[in-house]
Amino acid sequence: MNDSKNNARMARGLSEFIPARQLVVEDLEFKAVREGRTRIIIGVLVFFGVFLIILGRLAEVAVWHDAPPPYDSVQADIKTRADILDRNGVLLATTLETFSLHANSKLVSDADHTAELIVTVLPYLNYDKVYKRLTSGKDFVWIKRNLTPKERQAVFELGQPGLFFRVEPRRVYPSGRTAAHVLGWTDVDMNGAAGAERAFETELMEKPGSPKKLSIDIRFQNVLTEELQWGMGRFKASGAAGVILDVQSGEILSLVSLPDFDPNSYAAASPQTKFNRATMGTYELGSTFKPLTMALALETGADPNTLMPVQNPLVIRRKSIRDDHKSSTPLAMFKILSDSSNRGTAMYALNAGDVAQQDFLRKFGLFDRVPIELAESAAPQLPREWQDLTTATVSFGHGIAVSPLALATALSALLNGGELIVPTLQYRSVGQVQPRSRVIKPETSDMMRDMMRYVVTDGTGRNADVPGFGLMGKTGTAEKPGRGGYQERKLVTSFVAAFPHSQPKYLIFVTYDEPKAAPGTYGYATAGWNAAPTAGQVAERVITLTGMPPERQLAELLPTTTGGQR
Amino acid sequence: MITRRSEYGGLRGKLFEIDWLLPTLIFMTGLLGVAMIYASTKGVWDAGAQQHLTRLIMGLSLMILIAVIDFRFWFGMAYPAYLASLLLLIGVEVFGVSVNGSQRWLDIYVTRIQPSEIMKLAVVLALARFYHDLPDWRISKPTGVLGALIIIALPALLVLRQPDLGTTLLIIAPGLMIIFLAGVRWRIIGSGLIAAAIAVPLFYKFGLKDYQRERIWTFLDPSRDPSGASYHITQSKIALGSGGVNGKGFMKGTQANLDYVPENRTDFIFTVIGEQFGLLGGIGMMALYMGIAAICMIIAARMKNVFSKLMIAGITATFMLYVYINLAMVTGLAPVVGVPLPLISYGGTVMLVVLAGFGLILSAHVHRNSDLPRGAGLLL
Repeated sequence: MNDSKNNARMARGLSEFIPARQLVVEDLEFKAVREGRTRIIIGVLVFFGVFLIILGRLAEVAVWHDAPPPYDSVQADIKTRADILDRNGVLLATTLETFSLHANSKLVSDADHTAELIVTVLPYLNYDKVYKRLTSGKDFVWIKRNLTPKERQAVFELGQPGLFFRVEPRRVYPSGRTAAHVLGWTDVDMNGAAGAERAFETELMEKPGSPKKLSIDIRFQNVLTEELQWGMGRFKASGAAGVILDVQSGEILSLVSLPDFDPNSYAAASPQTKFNRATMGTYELGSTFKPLTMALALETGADPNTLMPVQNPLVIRRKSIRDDHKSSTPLAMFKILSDSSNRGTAMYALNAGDVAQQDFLRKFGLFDRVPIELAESAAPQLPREWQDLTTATVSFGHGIAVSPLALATALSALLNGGELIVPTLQYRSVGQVQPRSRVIKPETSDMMRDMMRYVVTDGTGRNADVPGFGLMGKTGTAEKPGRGGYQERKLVTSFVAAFPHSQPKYLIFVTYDEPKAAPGTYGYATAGWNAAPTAGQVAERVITLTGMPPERQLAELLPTTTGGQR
Repeated sequence: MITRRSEYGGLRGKLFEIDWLLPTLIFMTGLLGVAMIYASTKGVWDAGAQQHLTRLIMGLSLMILIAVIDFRFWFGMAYPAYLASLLLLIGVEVFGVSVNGSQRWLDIYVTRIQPSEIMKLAVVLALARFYHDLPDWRISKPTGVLGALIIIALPALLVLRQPDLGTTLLIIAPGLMIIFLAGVRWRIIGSGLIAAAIAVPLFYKFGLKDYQRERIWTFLDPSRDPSGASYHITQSKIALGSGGVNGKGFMKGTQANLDYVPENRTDFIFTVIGEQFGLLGGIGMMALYMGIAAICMIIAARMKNVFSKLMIAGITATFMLYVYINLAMVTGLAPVVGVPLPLISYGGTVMLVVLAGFGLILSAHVHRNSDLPRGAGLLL
């Protein structure tokens, strides 16, 4: 309305004929409206301009930016040792060029002054030691190896005679502590000293151009480390170890030992932290052994529905076998495993006999060191003589000490259809032939899957369940042997978890050394309250990372159909 | 006269009047945040994702509540809210709690609040009210310009003292934008820009803390301190670069997920998006934000009074500035100033304030036909 009037007025150029006062007001209001619109448009345009700039920048960073690729950031010419990658190609170990400072003491003019200057730029060096070396009279003395470029520049700028640099390759582990025990480290001269660095030494040195792919998934490794670390703090455990296995291929997806160390500064780490508890530590792991005894019973013809008289005392050689969850009635196999009854398990083992038991465990590789590439793989500690009491205690995991990895491997065979896999740290591509040997019948394996599922739905493993994924599991709480028998207060707790129920793929084994009761565990320090929830947490996060779809929970129906009693 | 509906049909009518496209887009953006926080914590539901979802739903409810309350109430609250926020800021100065070395939190008994966040809204309200009440001919007079500048400067100086460079920027920039939109003469704007060109170097010299100056320098030259302050930027660029165009896929990120990028749940959450969904994911997220802003500007264009127009423009500007500053920061285009990505980053106050802001916009829209008196007293 204003608009047309205004235009018309301007066109005619008749402004002076129209009453001025009123018009000024009209005019201003119109101007304000028009100006306001212009300004909003300008504002929007400015914002849109910034939008385009940001979008351009995003494209630049995402596509054209020379961000370092996951590996290969080092020039090939100084590469004397191959990189190590995880199964997805994430860089775990690489070689960088560093400068090592050495001196020719004959050329040093003022040792006192030179030493003083060196200590000012490399403050972690000891003045006396440096001085001693500079006055040693030798042509070649190391002052400090593997300087950073910055440090090198600082020393260079001192301008002192007699100081020299030698370019030296240095091993660097970008993931730090996360896979320390898997990777190990190299000594100053780049020789593999432990872990994968030592295990694959020849390969790494002979083909420096082709990176070595491990079976490890750094994401799982990170999850397992985090959860165990959290648990160790919460339960005030002195140590922890964990393994994630692919039960079909035998690949070790993750292997953790805590406390850990930083392989980038392995020299500063204490021997305790370098010790690989998962493969080198042997423990009497307790009830996590029981599934093996159940499989033994099934293989030697025991009927899982037969009720065992676990309510009666069981005394062998004047030793009474005790049960934590005492039952007043006879129990069948499912319930014996889910309540973790020592008596029932021992009865099965005694029925099978000691020879059958030993053959059985030998078949599962529990009498030898695990044939893994790592040099840090300990042989088990076996009973010196094997009589009926041994048969009974070994049936529930006492009197025999094995590494967590050894037990994890053996338990994998119970769940994957009955074939023993060879655990490996090397990546196995799809379709590659997997070395494996049959140890139990597929039917026995099926039964074991249901039985271990029952432990999680109805037994001691309830705290581990991940709804929808049919988690199978077994707890183990063992007292540590000490002087004069077992120590009731010092426990080793463990939990084995595997999933999915219909076709197991992942097996998680976690163990805590001397965990204590924590708030919320009602004073218990047994596996059901620490190792089980940790394994459940790890399982849940692994499931999320793999994007595995949930399965129908068949197992909930199974106890009634297979005769387990409630 | 324009015909005007005499009655809104009660609460139901008001809910019907809400432009539901806006809450929908906001909800989608918030859900993206939930998924990304979930990914950044490597799949732990209750390490942030769950809280974020709860806050999102609570915030959306608050937004709807604000939207259905009579807009004249909010109009009347403009100055009181501003004064209250100012008092809270002074309270922080005196009684505040220090987190991460900055004193910007006020511990009230229920929860900790950041008054500087509330101030971002309050400044916009106060300025919009200021120009609403001002007769047009005074806009470019000293009262119009200086009055507005004082409204901006008081909180800006208090926030700068905390010190919080990002928030200061988020108070000043939308404030200046409102002055611009209110119609101050170009001549004055021009001389203002010249004055700023002279003042900025002086401010750099005397107004910034050493660490703030250091940030600017490391930004300009990241190699200054490869392990220190620029670590954020370098790592976030690596994460974004490793995502490429298509990204690595949900939960498949390694750089951002494995804690190489610090603060990956809060200010640097975009690295998680960029690594997993790549450039395309980043563009998708930007499209969500632009959609939200576009709806708001369309609402603003329909408003008939100065207060609503300026308020909506100001709130939208604040919102988009959050996004811009954050993205510029994460992609290394601007120094690290600690501005989160609204609705996506983990953090309670920002979420509530942003959603309250949208509530005000919706309320203006729902009550677009009510009369707002002009030139009334201080408290309506």
